[in-house]
Amino acid sequence: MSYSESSARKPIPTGILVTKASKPAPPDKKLVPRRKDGDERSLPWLYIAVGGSVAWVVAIMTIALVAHSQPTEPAFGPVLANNGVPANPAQPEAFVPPEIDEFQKEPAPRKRGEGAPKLVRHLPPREDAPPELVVFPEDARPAAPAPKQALKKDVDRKAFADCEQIGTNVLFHKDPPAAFQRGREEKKIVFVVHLSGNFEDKEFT
Amino acid sequence: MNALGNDRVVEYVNEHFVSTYLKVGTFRVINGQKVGGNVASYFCLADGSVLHAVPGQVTADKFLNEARWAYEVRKAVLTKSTKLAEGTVDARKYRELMKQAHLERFNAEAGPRWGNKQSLPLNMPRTVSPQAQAHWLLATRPMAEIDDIYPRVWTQILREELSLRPVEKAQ
Repeated sequence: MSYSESSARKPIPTGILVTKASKPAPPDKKLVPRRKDGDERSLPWLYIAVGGSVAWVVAIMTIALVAHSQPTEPAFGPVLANNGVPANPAQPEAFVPPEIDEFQKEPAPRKRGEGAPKLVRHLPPREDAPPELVVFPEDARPAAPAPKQALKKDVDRKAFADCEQIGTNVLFHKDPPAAFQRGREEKKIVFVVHLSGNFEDKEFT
Repeated sequence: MNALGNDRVVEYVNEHFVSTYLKVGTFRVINGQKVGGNVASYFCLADGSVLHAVPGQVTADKFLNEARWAYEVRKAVLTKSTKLAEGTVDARKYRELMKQAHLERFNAEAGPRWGNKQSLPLNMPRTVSPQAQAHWLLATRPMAEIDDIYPRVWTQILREELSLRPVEKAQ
């Protein structure tokens, strides 16, 4: 049996056979009962909030008015009555506070960059503490400055820069090609300084 | 030039090097204060190729270390690249060894980096020290002539202007 023979037969259906879908169930007609406006459980939150706020304001203003209407009395003065006559002649005179209260005096403002004052802890001396160092007078003297380099004076000024002018005893050839020539002859490395200004003038180096 | 005033520096430089100087920049003096100006030191072979560069002012100890490094590296590289039996120097090997020396110093100066330590950044790193930048420059251009190196050191590392103008003094 060949392939052409088999294709002459009745064609195979390509559709998929399925059962008819049943209708979806109708939605439940029962509705959730809506709360009526006149229901007992509904609270007038808006009125409560506004009323509460007004009540707070009234209470605070009342307290403020009462506090403001209280008579002020001197803190340390005697109790006066009858047009300023002391009620008790034996009562000592009123305490007059000093003009400047040392304890309430504000500390001087710290300057910029100045650190906070250090807290000093007063501890009893330790028994095993090392003894204090004794500084001998000869040690306290500053160290003598290093001897200044004696600059060469007997250099060939035609070939080399003046050591006194350049401030070093390194022999610098004035002419770079001559230095490279000498380096070639002596098989030495050539040390070249590139700089701004005039090498032979200390002010301009 | 404080480093050159040191006795040890003077002794070492006069013994091992032939020294010279060149003005490549300028500065201004305003009310007695120096504005601008800088210095750079180079250690070169007699043909003008740069072995080492020290950009900017350094202390005497730092300068002495760099001078000794230049001298010792040159000696080591020359020995390694010379065919001792014939006495001829392999220039290519010389250049490669100098590159390796600067690469090693760059890695030491620039600190730990990601990636291969045998490779260099493509561009000059800006966040490292001037000395590390000089090593980067000399590793990317080993044994280049001083005429090729010094403008880059002066302008790119020291950020100075090449100028032959005299020093300006203003009140």
